[in-house]
Amino acid sequence: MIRVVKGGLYTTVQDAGRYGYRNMGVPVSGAMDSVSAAFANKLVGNSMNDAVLEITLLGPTLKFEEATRIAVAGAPFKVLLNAAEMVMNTPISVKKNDVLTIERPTKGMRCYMAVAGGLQTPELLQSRSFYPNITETVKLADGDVLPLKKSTSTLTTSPLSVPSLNFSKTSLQVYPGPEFEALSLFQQQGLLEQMYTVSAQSNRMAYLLTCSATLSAKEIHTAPVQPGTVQLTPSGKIIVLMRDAQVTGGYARIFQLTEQSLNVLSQKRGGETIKFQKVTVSGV
Amino acid sequence: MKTPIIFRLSPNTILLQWEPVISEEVARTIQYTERLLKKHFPSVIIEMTPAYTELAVHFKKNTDVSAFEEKLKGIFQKDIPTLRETSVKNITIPVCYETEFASDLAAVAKYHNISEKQLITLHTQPVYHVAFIGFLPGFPYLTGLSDTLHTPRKRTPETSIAKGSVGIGGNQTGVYPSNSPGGWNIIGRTPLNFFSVEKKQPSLLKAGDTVQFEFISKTEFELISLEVSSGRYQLKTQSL
Repeated sequence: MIRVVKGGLYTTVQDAGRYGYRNMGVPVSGAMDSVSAAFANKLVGNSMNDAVLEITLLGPTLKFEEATRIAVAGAPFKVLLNAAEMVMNTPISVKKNDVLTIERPTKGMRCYMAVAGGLQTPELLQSRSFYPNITETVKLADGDVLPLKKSTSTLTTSPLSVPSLNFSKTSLQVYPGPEFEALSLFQQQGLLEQMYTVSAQSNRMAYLLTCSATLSAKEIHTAPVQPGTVQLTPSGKIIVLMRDAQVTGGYARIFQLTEQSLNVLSQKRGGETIKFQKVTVSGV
Repeated sequence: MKTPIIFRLSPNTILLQWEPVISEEVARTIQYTERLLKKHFPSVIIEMTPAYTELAVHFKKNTDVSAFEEKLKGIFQKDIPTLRETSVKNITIPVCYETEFASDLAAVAKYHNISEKQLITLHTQPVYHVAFIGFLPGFPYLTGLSDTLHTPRKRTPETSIAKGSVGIGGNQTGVYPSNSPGGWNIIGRTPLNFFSVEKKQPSLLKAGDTVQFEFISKTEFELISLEVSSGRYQLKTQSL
């Protein structure tokens, strides 16, 4: 097991998501940057559905109470194993009583720590992803413990190529949403030309974007939404729904981010700028 | 059955869209379509998200969604025998309307120029239809609120509304399944749990159920609360 010495700013357990309960109002959740979480899992020989730690901006201090293998992937954070700096994107063996300290990222928002066999926190509604009123805790606190699986595999993975997540990429690919066509051509064009600034209030539920243009769309009857849905409110706010988003919403759905762009956005910090680039669903 | 428009939202999600007019009929059509798709395409569909006039269908990765759309059109064109939903129920929800639990009851009554007693009667009379569950785990969207009780949402949402609070927002009424922020006018509270993660069916209600609110006193509220927490409460239900 792992003992949480310090929980960090906002550290959660996430897997590939909680599917099958959206008709009961239960969000999908899961790792914000699904590519980096899957890569961390792959490095230690896990399946991409295994639970990992999602670390946000300021990481935790963890003490290993048993030997295992770990890997940290995602945004480039400063990571220390005991006192020595640890390389990311590589599987590392840890011994009993080793202490891992994840500090701050040089760019991006989130990194993922995978452990061989996956974290064994309780599975609720078929997922270990933290979510209020589903899991007992919402984020790691000092003193928490994370159960592990007895590590059986001893395989050392051959070097894997790091997935390219371009942190300086500013253009996000979007499909037109169901309410896009109803906007005036002027608004449509404006939405695609604007630069947007990520608000510091952004979190796992939603990213708020601000821009200089005056935009507006009428409310709709509450309708299905999903991670990556971009909403425009009557007062001109742009809300991008993230992994913990509610399953239905009443604002105009102007865009839908591609999965890749959703991952890119989840690594953006408050103050960074982005723009939207319209693409079509291939094969349509 | 009315044929919906198919909107491709993303590689793995389509929206089936009916005419954007809220009614019990379209809600039933959506529930029926959900059952139909579950029966015909269990191997490619992960899950579906119903709302007032749309149904989102979420597919497994690498599903040929375009081929699915063609099959779907074929199914909608056929005259399909009704798939009866046998598990829907009428559920009685006990509600205490006393001031302690009903911070906005007096204001709502005043807004409509009726007495609090009349408000309670108007709220407990109808049989509400559960259109879908959304917003928060277990949060029911109900149709059937008396026109007389339509009340605008608050300008500034409250930062914390207690679990079990019964509210009116616009033409809707519903119950907050957990403590949360919200902008509805609170007129009472139920001691029932609307979402229990440890249960096989975590959501108390599901789309297609009907609901009636029943007036209870504060003493009954406390008694039922105890019964609920010890697992002895017998839910009042009827099969439909």
